[in-house]
Amino acid sequence: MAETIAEFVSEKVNKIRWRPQGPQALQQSDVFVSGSWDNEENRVRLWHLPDTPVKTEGVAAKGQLPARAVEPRLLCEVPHQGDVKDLKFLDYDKILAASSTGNVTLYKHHHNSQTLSVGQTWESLHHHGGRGCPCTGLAATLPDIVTVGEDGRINVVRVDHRAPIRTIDDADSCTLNAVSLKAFEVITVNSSGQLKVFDLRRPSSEPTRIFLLSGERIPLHCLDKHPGQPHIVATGGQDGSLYMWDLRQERHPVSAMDAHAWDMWEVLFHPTHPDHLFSCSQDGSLWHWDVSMTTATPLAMATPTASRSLVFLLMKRNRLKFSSICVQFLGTPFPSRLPAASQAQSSPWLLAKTGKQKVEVSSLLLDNIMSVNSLDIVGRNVVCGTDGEAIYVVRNINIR
Amino acid sequence: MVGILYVDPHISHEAVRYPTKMAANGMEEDFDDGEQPEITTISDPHLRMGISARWGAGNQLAVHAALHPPQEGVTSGIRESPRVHEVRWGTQEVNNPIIRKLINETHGTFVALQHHQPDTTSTTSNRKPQLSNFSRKYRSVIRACLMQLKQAEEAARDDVTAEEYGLQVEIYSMVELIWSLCEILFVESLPGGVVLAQLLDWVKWHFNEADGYAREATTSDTPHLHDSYWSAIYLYVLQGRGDEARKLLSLDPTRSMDVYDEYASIDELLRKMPFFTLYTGQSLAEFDMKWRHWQDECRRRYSEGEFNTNKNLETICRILCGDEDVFLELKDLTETWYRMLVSKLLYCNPTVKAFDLQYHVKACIDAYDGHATLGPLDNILLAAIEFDLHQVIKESSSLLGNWWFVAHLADLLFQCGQLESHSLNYGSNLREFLLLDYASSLMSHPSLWQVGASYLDYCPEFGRYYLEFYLERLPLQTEQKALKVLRECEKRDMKDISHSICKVMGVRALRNERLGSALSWALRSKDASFATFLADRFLSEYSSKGGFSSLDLLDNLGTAMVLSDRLTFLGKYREFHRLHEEWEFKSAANLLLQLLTNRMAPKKFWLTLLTDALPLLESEEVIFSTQQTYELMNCLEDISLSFRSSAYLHGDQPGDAQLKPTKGQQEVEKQKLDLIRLALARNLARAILSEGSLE
Repeated sequence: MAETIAEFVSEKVNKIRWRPQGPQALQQSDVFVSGSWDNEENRVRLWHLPDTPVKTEGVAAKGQLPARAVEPRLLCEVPHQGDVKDLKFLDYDKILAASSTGNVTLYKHHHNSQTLSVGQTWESLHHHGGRGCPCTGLAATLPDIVTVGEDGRINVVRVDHRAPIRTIDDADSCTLNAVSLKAFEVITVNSSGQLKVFDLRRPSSEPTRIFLLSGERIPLHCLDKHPGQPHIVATGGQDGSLYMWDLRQERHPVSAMDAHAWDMWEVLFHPTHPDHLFSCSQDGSLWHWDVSMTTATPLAMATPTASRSLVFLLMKRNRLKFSSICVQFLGTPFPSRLPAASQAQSSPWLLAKTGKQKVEVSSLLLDNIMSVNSLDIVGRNVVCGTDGEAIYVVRNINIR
Repeated sequence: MVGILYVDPHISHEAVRYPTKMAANGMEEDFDDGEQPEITTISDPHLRMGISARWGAGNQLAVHAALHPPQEGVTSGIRESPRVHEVRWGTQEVNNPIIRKLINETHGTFVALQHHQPDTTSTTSNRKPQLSNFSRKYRSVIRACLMQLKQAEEAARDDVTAEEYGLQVEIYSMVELIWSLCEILFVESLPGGVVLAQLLDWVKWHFNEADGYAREATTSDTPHLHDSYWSAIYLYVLQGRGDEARKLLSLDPTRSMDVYDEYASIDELLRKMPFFTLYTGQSLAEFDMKWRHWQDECRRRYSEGEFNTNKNLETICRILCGDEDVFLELKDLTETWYRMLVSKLLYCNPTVKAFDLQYHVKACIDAYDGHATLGPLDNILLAAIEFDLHQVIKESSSLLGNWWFVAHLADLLFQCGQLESHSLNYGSNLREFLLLDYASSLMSHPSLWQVGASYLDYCPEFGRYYLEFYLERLPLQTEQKALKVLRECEKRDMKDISHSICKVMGVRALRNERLGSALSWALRSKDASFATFLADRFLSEYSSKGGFSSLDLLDNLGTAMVLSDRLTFLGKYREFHRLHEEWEFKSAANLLLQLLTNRMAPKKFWLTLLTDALPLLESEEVIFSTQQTYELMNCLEDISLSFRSSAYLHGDQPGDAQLKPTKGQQEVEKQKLDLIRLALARNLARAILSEGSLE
């Protein structure tokens, strides 16, 4: 059964990331990094999550000790200039942090002294005519690191190179909000509902493809690529819906699922169980999406689409009450213009719209009301940070 | 907002005065009470000429030198650059990381408490257990906070920090003490109003010196001879902790088993002492009978002189008998009047009702040198016992200088229905007044505005106005923050504020020459005039550079372009270019003609449009029909006429002299017109021919 641990940290958390496993480590990671925003002095902090101690029965109700023992413990911290907009572990002990000042900083974690130190800083990678502007996202497949910012620029930098090795100045006319990188392919989302793919091998600064939301131009805040099938991309934006894109095909998302009441700030596939997806939102919710339960026979199409929205309406109304709701997705606002055969059985996420796939959504935080800005998942543990200055760790999530 | 800025001409450096502690009942009364406003001196010689100030976010003033009233032609005489001073108050504790945890953690409880209200339509009596749950939640957070403060105090590296934390520990210990007493008296209020059991718990929880004494005694080699031995036993007895007292007593080796054992006797009395507990189904009368019985037995044994040989045991027995004098003798152990009160009531009047507590107070206070020596904390507790809530809150706010406590307590009491009768002549009611001030102190903090906004939601009368002012003044460093502030506005349907936020962000993007970004902000707030302005900028950029920027946005405007006519034109015009690029000449020509004929294009842009038509007119294939060519010619005549008008030649408005076209420009335009005229004529000829031959 999932258990939730809350720790108040006296700063609003904008980004949170698990550390990847060490070279010799066998057990799953128990260290994560958090970055704050909107504080007078922002910080990057490294936390350690102790193992759950053996449950001692009959501990006095007032006893604080057993409860405290499993709360995350601060390992070390370092001041950070500007809001921490994005964080990324390059490897076991190197953390890359994007700042609202336009700088990108590489921090090194020294295990012996438990300190964080600045390894390298790229000043004003993102700027308006020299004045720094927020760098909003980072992605890396070493040696390349890609950064995007409010100036619509894409920079490619490398560790140990002082200047960017490539800059695409007018990659976007709006703000780029998030980026993903695989080999030479850069995927970005912007604040006018567009998803763009750039190929770094091509000299041109034009995107190879532009995908966009049909209808309203809803700003997209986050994206994540399917770990096994890189053509499947999940994005979330201002309306809180979850959009699934198939980069091999249409110009528009394959499916759109009504989800959170307000902005979705982060969406992540489970790195090793990609049938599970996690999203968090401004409305204070943290959701676990599960498509691992495939139904053998296609569901009768008699069920009206209205019932779907009804279920979601109920979910929104009783946001704080429900613990787990099964939802059947039927139909989609984006009619497919492609033959159904071409996407047959490719991924449960792409089938979600055809009604052949059952999607189970459960809420992982029950009593939180402040915006959840970031989340990360490793194994069966999810960690998330909120504007309520709290870090929540949800352990032992049901992953099939 | 309450606050006064005084300018005192008698002080050489003008001073800003403001009350650091604004008591709950408002300013005027404070001054009546003789509380002096605190004076802060700003050492800036320029302020000598006069002083002016503006409210910042929350408890913040921007103070600068200024002449009053501003006079025409009088210069300030300041040579170096003038300074703006920032004055803040009441924000210090918000910066303490541990207090921030308290603020955030209790925020959740507060909101839950507000929402819990409408759910239970049942009577107040049914809500009691839930409300006391909320009260306990608050208390557990206070306790956790207090423990962390104590740890921080011990771990502090320097004296200043230690002192700071020490001060906070002191404040929150008081907060906890007052809160739990209020919880017993106002929130829990048990049936029958018998409160002694709770009061005993209260004393036990907050004052545990007895355990300390006992530890000292038992860890020594000869416990019974230790100074603290008897103190511990007395304290245990005074707090009604018979079992602990008996354990300690059994350690005394002087106890003689063979002769008459007075220890056994007192042990028996302590063991048999009846307690009134609610949940055993015992009626009050039943308990009263038992109690009398037991105390009669104590008195009997005492008067028979059973403990004459042992002074200490005699004292214990006197306590059990409820002998008034013995409490006076032990007043150094109970330390304060309220602890004496509880001990005394335990043995003299165990069935006392909450409302009767106040009648027993005087004797106890007199034992500690009377009313005159009461400190502020005593006054608060006394007011609570006298059920004077208004006084409790007033005294607490001036003693603790802490809005957190009074705001949450007032709200909880309000939810319990204890605060309804208090309405104020300023603000709406006490609860809202305090919540507003608490929220203001949060809003003054750079990071806690979201929490503050949430509190303002529950101030029905003024909350919204406050919030509008605060949200408008929040600095927007990043787009993400702007989005979050916008979300707060949209949640509350504050259209004006969200409009102005989008405008601020849009103009900022414009200054950074990010037209696309600016347009996306204009579209977000559906700001038609700003969109028109931006569309004009795009068009003039096209005219000067011959190309569009932000193509990714313009090509995908979709339905958003109907926001303003100019934007629609921009979108359509860009579509014309795309069609042209894609060799769709026929549809491009139709679109162009449509733009001209339905007067969608601004007049000054017609010449550009007609020039764009040139390649189409000159293409090998005939694209424009005769009818279409006539329409184009019509447009051409229209602008040639306007070129001869005085408005064009001398600028649209008299002031627009710089817009007046130069001689050279006029020449170029004239040539263009001639060229277009020629092209149109040739096209007309070709069109007539091809149309004629088709028939």
